[in-house]
Amino acid sequence: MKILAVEDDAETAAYLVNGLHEAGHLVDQAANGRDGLFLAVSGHYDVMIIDRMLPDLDGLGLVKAARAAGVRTPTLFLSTLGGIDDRVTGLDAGGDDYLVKPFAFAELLARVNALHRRPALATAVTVLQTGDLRMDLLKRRVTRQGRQIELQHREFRLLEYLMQNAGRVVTRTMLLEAVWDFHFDPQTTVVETHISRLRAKIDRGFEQELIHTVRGAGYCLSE
Amino acid sequence: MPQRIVNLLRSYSFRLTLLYVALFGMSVLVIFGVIYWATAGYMARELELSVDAELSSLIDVQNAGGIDRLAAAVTERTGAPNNRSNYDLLLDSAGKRIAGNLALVAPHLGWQNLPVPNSEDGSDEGDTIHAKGVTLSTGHFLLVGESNYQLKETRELVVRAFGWGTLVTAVLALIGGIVMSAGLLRRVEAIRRTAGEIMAGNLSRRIPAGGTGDEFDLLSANLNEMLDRITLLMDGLRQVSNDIAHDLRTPLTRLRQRLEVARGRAKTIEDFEAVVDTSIEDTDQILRTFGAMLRIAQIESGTARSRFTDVDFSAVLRSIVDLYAAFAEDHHQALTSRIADGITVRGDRELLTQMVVNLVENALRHTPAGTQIDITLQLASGRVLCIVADDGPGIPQREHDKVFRRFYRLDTSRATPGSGLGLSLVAAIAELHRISIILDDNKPGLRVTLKFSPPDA
Repeated sequence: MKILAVEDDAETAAYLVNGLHEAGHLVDQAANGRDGLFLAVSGHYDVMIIDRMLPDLDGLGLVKAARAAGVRTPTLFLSTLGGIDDRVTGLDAGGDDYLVKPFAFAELLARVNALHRRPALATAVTVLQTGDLRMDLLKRRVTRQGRQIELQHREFRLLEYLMQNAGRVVTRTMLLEAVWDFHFDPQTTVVETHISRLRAKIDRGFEQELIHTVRGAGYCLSE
Repeated sequence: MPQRIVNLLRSYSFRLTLLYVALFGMSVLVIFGVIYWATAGYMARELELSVDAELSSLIDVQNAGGIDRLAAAVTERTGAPNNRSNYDLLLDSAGKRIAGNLALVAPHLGWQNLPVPNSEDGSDEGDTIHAKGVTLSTGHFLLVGESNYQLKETRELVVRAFGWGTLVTAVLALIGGIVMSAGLLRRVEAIRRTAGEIMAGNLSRRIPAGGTGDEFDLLSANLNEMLDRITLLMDGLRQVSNDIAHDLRTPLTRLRQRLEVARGRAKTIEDFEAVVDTSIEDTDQILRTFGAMLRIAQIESGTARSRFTDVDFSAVLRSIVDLYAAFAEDHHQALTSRIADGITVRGDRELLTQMVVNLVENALRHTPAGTQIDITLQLASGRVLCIVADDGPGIPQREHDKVFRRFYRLDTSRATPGSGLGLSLVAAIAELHRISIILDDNKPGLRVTLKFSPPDA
């Protein structure tokens, strides 16, 4: 994946670039808003990671300008602690996702991966399939090895999101956002509870586990 | 004192008064001009009519009694002891004066203006005589004239009256302006003085109100409210600084100690990894605490209020129950709910969610297995009530006020996880949304009631 990272703090930028390199991505980096905008408009990137606070042109201005110039690249905003309306203004400016600094790198990577997949989902998918697990979105039916699995509404949403991101790590907060539309950091293991219940329905009694726990990051649905 | 006068003369209201006086003076002058012109014109015409009437009556005398009677009439008319208005002249056909009090002039027919002959006291010097000359059927020349001194005196009277009038008007207006300006200036001065004292550091000063509810009182009330708000923000800032000083130093010190010990004692890579892992956890906890503090400060600043929208609170609560019911069940607790449909409140969805989640997580974490936690949402006499109740150990009555303080924890040993900021955040969010929080004994357990303000209150 080709990623543009615009971050003015040298240490954070190096942390981003190294981490993304290690994960096998190509990264271009800019240290200010103007250079960032130039790269965003001229290069073809799969994902952009933009810091909110940048010299010359701030992150919001950069993304607004890039969107005005017809750049549709999925964008992840980074911001510092505390802002209660930062997420909303970021999304309003044309951002697709939002992450508060400091963050675990696994969280960033998971979100970048999820962003990259987003455009493909625009086409109407009616059936999701991972190994022998099959989800029919129209009939709202889930089967594994042909055996029907009864899921409650939220469990269905949870599995749907995992299957949409099959093979990729999704974090607890991503699940909380996607399934419950909640944007907070729970102090309890609520998400784990739901995953373990889903796991009981999907994986129990089958040879192969599909829902994997990725330590320090989140979950991954894969064969 | 002189400085006060200078201030007064410089004041905006005084300058307005001056402008007003000037405009008013000009309009008085215009009225005066019109009246003066009309009066003078009228009197000049009257003078001509009077001369004409006199002339024709004298001609009648001549027609009836001849030149001698006419001469006697002219002499009678002009010879009165205090005569200052009638000036006539009767000449024979040779140009010789027969009667009259005017110096000999060349016979000149029609209307004419003549100077008044010098009198002894000179009081009517400069007056003119408006006269008309005719030739009589006998060849005599008769000139009948009247002095315009009455006209002049009337004009002078009018001018004098208006002059005094204008002067008095201007003086009264000026005095009025000064009094008004002084009043306004006093009010402005009060505000300025208070602002000065506040700038000098006395933040508790407030602008005194006049008590009449006028525009200055309204302005003062607004300014006072603004000052209250500023004080609140500054208190919040001070509180955050204190919190950082007291409660972030401890975990940071602990983290430092752990790293130092590991540097000296850890032997294997596993040892180091273990220390690094716990250190990262510690750091995350510190950052979370830090974030929560900033968040509370930001919420308390009240800026989020401008972005309030209508939030389907019933749906929010259902999602929360949906999210936490399974968790409660796994911990042998029960999360039940009675949520009325379609209850909408005005606010920030994320913050409202956070508020209820904090209460629910609090209940889940601080109660033993077997506890039932119940969430209720209902409308009671027009006000939205959200109740989070549990039948756990509860909180002693005397602690009720303290639990919303920052870093306050019932468990003084701080053995249970948590930053001690969860309920402070709840309090801040409630305050932002004008929700009153009531803690009750649920007999047994704790009942937290969130009472929303009625809409438009």
